Amino acid sequence: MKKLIYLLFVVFIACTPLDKKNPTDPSGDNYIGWHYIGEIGEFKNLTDFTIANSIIYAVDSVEESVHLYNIDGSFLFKIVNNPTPPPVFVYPTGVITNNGILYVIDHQTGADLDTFDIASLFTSSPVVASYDLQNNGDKITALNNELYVATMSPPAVDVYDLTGTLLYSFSIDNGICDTCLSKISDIISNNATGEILIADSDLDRIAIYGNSGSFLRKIDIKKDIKGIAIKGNRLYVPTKDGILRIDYNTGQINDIIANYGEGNGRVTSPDIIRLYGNNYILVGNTTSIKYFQIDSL
Amino acid sequence: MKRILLFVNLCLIVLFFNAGLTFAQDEIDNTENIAQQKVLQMQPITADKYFEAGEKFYNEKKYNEALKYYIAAVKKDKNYILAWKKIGFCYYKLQNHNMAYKSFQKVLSLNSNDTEAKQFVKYYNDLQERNKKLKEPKNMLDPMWRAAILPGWGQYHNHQYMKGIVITGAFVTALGLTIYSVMDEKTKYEKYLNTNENHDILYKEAQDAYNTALILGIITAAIYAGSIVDAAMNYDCIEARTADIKIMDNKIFLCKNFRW
Repeated sequence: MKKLIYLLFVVFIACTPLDKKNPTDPSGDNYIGWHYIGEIGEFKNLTDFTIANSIIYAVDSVEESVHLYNIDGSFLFKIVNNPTPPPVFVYPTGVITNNGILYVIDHQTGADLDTFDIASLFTSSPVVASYDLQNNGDKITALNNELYVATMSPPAVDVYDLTGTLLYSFSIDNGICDTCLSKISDIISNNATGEILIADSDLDRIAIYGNSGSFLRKIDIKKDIKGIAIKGNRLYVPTKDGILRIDYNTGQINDIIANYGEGNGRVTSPDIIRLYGNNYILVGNTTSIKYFQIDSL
Repeated sequence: MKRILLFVNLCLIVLFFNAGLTFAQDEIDNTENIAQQKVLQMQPITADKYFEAGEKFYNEKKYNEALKYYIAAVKKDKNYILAWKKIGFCYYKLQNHNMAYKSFQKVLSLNSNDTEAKQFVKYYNDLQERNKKLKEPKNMLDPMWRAAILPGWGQYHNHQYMKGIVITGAFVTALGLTIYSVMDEKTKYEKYLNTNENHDILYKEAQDAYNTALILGIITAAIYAGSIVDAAMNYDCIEARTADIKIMDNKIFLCKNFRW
């Protein structure tokens, strides 16, 4: 019996744990500061999503619906077409929230901007209003109670007030030049500077405009990009090489996130990106939203 | 009633008649034996006659009796090869191997090409060689270095064949399992190192594989070390000093006994 106890003791002592060396393992001793959490949602064609008050609003253009999820990934609600015509959505592509109102761009011939009172969404009769758009519209952002609606191609940005009245349009040169745009894939606002940022997936660059529509400067990414997000002085741009973290002022790449290892935590088909709080990055990949946690945005 | 009495009388007559015939036959046999012995005593006896008499007893497996006549034959004719060979066979059957060996040596001295005698002499020489080796002083290092090269070989060297086979088998099995487990652990740990999701699950799988590999490695090492120690402790054991001989059905065999 003593020998057995001694043997078990030796085995117990010998069974030292393996080193936790995975760079994306938060409990590892060489953790690089970010890791993949998982996926949210299941879409036929995710075109845009936004986050407000810990709720994710995601647009599925093929399913013609808007999905609502809690920030932890649990499903909340889905805005779908009426069972009888006329449909609410024909081909929804962009979404934004502003002051308790959800704005959804319905891209179609004779495009419109559908609005929903978020507080009434969970009731049987959410308040719905619809405004006509000058161009087809694909993506939308809000700044200082103005709505900036971007059309992918030919590139255009129209500015509306909150009631859908067209205020003005950006003066955009279509083509290939330093101040040109070719194909708008995303539009966001920088609240801190009052600037509008436009991602161009043809020219692989980010164009920065003043809120009056004047071209300010560009940041060349030179990689296939679709979405952009900003937090403080850092731009987040998902590419096939991972999520680039770029200095907003200088345009220099600081580091790359989600470029490590195997599995869903490696970004291979970059799309729309959104940030949440101080620690979370969410990247859409057509059929789901990938969820990353980072030490500090 | 008369008929019954007549039948009983007939049966008794037949019984007495048969008994009389058997007694008469025994008497005739005894008389013939006595006559034969008298013939042997009276006639000048040759070596061949003695040999023939020996053959009769040999065929009846009466080896002691046969031996007397074969010896008598070689006394008559010292170069009687066949008789010398039969003497060897008789001694072999009687397990008197020293005398059998000498008899076959004598046969070879008379006819160096005798195949049977050659085989027997070689056989006995092998035995002697083994016994000679067994009496040589043993060296503890001999089984130890063998066990160090292959666990179980040392035991085999100590004539503990069964133990040797078991240890070799256990070592090879444990080593194979250890190698497999180490490779499995490497694969799983690599998988953990290269993943960017489900870290805890993959780490646990790698850790479990590591523990398995470690335990098997310890077992393998224990078998290896135990084999060397055991070989050293038993370098001069009884088994190591025993010739590999097996006696069965009045025959002696050179063999490997599966001793523990």
